[in-house]
Amino acid sequence: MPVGNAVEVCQLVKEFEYYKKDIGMRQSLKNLFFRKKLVKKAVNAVSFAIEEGEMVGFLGPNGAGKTTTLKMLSGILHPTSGSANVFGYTPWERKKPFKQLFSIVMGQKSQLWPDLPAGESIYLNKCIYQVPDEEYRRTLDELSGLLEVRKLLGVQVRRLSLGERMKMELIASLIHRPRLMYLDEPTIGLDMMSQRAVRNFLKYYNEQYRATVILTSHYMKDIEDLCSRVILINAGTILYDGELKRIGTRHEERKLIKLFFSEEISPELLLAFGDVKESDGNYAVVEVGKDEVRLCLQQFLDKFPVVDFNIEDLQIEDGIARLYSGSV
Amino acid sequence: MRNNKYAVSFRIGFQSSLEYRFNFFLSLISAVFPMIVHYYIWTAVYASAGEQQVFGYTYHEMIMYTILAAVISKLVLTHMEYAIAEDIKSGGLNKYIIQPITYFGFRISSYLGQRLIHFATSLIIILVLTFALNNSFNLHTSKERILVFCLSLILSIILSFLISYSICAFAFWLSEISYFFVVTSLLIQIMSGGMFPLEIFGEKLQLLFRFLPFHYLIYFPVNLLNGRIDGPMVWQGLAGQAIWILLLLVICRLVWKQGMKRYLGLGG
Amino acid sequence: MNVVIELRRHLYLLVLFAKNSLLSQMEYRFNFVAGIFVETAFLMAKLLYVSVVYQTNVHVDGMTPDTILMFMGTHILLTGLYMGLFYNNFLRITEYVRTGMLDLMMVKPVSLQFLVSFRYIETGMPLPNIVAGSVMVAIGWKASEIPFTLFNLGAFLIFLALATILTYCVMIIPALLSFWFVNTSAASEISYSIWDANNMPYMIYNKWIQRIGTFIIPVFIITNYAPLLVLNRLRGIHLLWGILAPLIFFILIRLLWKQALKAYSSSNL
Repeated sequence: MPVGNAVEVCQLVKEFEYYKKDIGMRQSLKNLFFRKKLVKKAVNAVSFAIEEGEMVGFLGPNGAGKTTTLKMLSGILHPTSGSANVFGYTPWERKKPFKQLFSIVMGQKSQLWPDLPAGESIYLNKCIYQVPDEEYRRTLDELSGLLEVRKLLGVQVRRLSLGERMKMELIASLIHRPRLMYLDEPTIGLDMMSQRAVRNFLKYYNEQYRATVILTSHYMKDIEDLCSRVILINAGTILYDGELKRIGTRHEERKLIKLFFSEEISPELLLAFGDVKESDGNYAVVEVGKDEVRLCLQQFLDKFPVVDFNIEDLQIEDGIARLYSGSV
Repeated sequence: MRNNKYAVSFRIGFQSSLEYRFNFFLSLISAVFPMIVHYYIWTAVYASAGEQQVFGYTYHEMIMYTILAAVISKLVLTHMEYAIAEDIKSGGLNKYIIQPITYFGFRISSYLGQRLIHFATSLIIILVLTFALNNSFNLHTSKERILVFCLSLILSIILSFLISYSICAFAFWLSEISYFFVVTSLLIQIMSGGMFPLEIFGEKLQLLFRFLPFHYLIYFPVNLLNGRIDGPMVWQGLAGQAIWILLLLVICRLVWKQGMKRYLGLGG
Repeated sequence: MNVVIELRRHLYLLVLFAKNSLLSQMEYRFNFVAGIFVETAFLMAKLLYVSVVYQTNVHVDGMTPDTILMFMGTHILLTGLYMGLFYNNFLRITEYVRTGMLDLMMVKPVSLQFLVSFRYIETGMPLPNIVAGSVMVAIGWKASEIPFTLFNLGAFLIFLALATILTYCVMIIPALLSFWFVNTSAASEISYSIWDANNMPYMIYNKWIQRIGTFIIPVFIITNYAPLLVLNRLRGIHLLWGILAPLIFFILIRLLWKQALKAYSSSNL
């Protein structure tokens, strides 16, 4: 593999088998003896490469295949076909040295013992990862200081708030200083302050240790703050791989015109000018080409009782939504 | 159809028992092992005792007891306490307070639905076993006896539901309930004669057990079929079952009424 | 050398697991006491068998009730060990598979089988069985007039250790099935009832059941071989098998475990 690539993925495919269940008494009886097997392609021929020290965001709706990809890259799942190379290892061979160099944090699952102080679970990880005592003390001190939870290490996990728990989760998974981190929705359910603290910490860790980070999140803010590069996945395929900003610029040639009328205007009348994104009687949002803005606006002002208007750029979310809908 | 909603509950229970087919087949097999163990224990006991009767049972009666008790205890012990306690603990009862379906009605219909296959198969197994044992032991179980047995079995199924249902009401008062149910179901199995015939407990305990409803679940129907209970005792026993069913209906109503008061008090 | 280091590391982790489990269980003192209470109830049910044996004065293969008591005691003792070491862990394996918690354990640089098999060690629950079982063995031992020598005691303890390995191998099977099937409660139920076949010495069963229970599903070895050994009744092929079987079945379980992991597709995509 070329120097500097932490992760290389080539034509990765993961299929799941499942059974179709029909409703009704007769179908239940029928299912007792044979069931119809169906195949779902959760990840379909995905390829990408990530450089060491890069922070990349996986974006996509629920069930797009983000988590499945992460699980294959951490060796939890075997792919149906395709290959992956993570720091020279094939993840699903689950070699011990490979396990030593990464960690995975899932926002929905906890590796901490709920009834024990978080410190105990962190210490257990220290033993599992065979971290030398001195290094362990230093890392624990540094990480707990950065996350401002040093005083909480002795508190039972179930008495911690969700945000505090996630911080402990992060310390527990970073105690062996992994070179690669997978974060699956690390900020899910957290309040704004905790989200920000977690984000700042991840940024620091990434910069300080040149750690490679792959992150999935539903919060656009996470990705915007942390990742210069995003990989957009939907229905198991990559729709876009590149700079986050460019998703927006691709659609920079489109603008939104927000119109406020003094009386109700039916949206059908506006259709001739562009895409009606929103319409609520006195208020409408129309998406038009950049070059047509002047012309359209003039006609709006001429034909309709416009009281006020606004011209805006499309949001990144809009660009993403566009990509999704284009792929279906 | 007035009872349509209960019919639906029944069907849901039935379907959910089909859903896990692997489990369903295995649960039939799991009834066989205790039977085998007890069969050999008693065979060894009679072989070394050299007596005709042990605890008042002939060898044939004891084997029949052992085998039938294993099947019937699979059938009549409900194991639905956990589901009900879960409903009480997690607020699942709320929807029955709102919906026009009584919780009791829902539970008994879905329970019967869930157990329908068990009922049918157990009954077939019992009849086949009785026939086989009759053949190999040269016994003759009369048709009337089988009919009376079926009647008492139906009564004990109802009785066991009512017992479970009233025990479940403890979940209204106890905060940690699962341990409690483990112990009660074990005690019920012992006191109903599901493990050993009640005669092994000696005179005094036996007398105590006769004043409790549990022996009507297994001990009574089994001894009805193997012929140890005879003549007027048969009708006495059936009447006992019926009386306990009525009594438990009242008990269920009372404890659940109290429990619901507490439940609503907590919820509001 | 490497093996020694790994062994020490795993033993140390085992101590940590035990410590953490004890601390966790102490958090719920009610459950701790209730667990002991429940196990005592089950112990009472098992003692019914003892009561039947003494009441009927049954002799099995020439053995008096006192000697039979030693077999029953061994069974109860091992039930205690099973409850303490494995029961809770095996229940949780099903849970890990269903909730996908296994994912987080898989990525740890330590044997996954070790991790899931020993993560929770019960401390209170097994006490009644271990105490009662030991007492019963002691009574049976004395009444059977077995010489109380260091050799006999050592041999008995080694066979108890071998039995513990076999217990692990037999009782983990239902938990492993949960990698393939959603609901395995019936399989567990079957394993419990097979386990209870050891309520009596295995000589009461017919030849075929004895053979199956010794050579195919080795449950009978678990509670019968240790007492038979000190009674000087375990000879020839059975003695050899008693030593080899734990090894063979552990390897088989290891292979089954690997198959199970292959089948694992974590529950949420």
